[in-house]
Amino acid sequence: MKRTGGGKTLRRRLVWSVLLVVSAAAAAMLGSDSLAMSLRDSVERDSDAFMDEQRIADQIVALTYQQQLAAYRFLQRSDTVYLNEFQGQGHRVYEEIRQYLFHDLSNEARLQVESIKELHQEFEVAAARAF
Amino acid sequence: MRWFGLAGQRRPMGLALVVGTCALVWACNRGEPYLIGVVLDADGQRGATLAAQEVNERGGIDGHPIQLVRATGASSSYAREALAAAESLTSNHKLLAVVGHTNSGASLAASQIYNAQHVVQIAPTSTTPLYSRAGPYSFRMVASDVHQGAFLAEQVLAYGGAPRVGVLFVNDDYGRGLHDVLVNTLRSAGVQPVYDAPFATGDHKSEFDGIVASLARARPRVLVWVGRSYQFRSVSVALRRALPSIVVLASDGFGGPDLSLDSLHVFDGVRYVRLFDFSRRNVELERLRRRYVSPGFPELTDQAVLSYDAVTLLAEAVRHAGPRREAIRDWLARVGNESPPFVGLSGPVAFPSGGDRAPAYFMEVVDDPLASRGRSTDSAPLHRPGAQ
Repeated sequence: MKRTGGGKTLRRRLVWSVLLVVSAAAAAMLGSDSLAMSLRDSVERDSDAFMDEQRIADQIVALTYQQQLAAYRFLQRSDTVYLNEFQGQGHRVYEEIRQYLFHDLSNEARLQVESIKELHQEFEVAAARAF
Repeated sequence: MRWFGLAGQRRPMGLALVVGTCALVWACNRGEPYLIGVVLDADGQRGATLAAQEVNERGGIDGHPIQLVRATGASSSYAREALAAAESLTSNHKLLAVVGHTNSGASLAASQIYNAQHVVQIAPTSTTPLYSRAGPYSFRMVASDVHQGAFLAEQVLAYGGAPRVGVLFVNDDYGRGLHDVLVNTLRSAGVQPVYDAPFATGDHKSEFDGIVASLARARPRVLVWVGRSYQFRSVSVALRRALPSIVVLASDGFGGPDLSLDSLHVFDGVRYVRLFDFSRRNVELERLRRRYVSPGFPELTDQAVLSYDAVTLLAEAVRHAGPRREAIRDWLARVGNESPPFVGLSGPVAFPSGGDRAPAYFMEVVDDPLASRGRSTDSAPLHRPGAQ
């Protein structure tokens, strides 16, 4: 199936929009959730565990942005270096999200993070199709 | 008559009251069902139900029948339904354990709730490597995909030299884990897939058309499908048209009732991994088969047998350890370690490394054209002996 120029542009827009949604969701949910949890449980919870969760949340957001950048670069230049970087960042995002999910979370927070994971997985499939 | 004013009559009456109360409580508790949660697809539910029925037909567990508590959303691999089911089940403080869920992603998501609530979870067919880290209350009736990935790679390499291999994998907790082990093992053997792409759980035929076109351009000789059969249905016709000679190997998720209900034969010739040797014949398995087969359930599936074994195993755990969640967990952890393996219809069940079962895999061909109509299994079962 030969791609038309218009079709490719539409795919790029689709990928970018999904990227933005995922990044925003990751930043908002993880950041606000971590903050809310820390405010609510700061007396009771182990500070080391909290710091670890915060580190993971920050890492997830950062890696998502890096994956976004790799996707953009690959769409611009089709260099497999960027494709490998995109896939590598994807693996790291997934691992960090899974690591986060092994922490003690409220049911609401757990559902939020699981939703982010599923969104990220859908984004990767969409990006693979766009590539 | 004042009770406390008649000391001589108080003791016999008081004693009678205590004894009577105890007898009443004992009578009420005796026969009180032991609750086991079930979050499975229809075939798994049927296997679990038959196991519970058989335990109850033999008098239950010290007079207490097993009662299965079913949760909705069993067939979903999405976390929302899995978490809702786990929350619902664990809110019942009389629930002793859970058999489920069907899919790796769902089992993994729910496992954190079960572990937090100290409810034993036995996942019959969840193979994702991450489940090994789910917690001390999580067990499974199958091995981790660190083994299946290597096994699938062996099957690919059996096609000689460096075969042109394509990989399509469902991008969820199940597919990702198995895909990574498979591809890394192939690369270690010097085989780089010529096509390697994910698909989503919710993808339909329109999404797969482009995939097949891209796959055809890569000209693989072997395709490894890491996913479920219902989605392969969307690929099969176009794939056979574009690549008539392609060999399709599929992971364990491919199996299930869809294969028996394949009136259009879109799955013919696919070689897929089974977690249980159905070529092995024994009296107990045949007895279960006769009870299981009915309208809508034409053949025993891996999930049906493994769910049956899970419920039977839990019944033994409760029988020996008592109806207490922590005691059940401790008893299960000793199976195959300090205590002998449990002998199930699927073979010996042991947990040599945490909650994981030792690996064993078999390849089956769907409606092999060279065989008589029906299924054929490789004559030499392909095991991966030893613990993880």
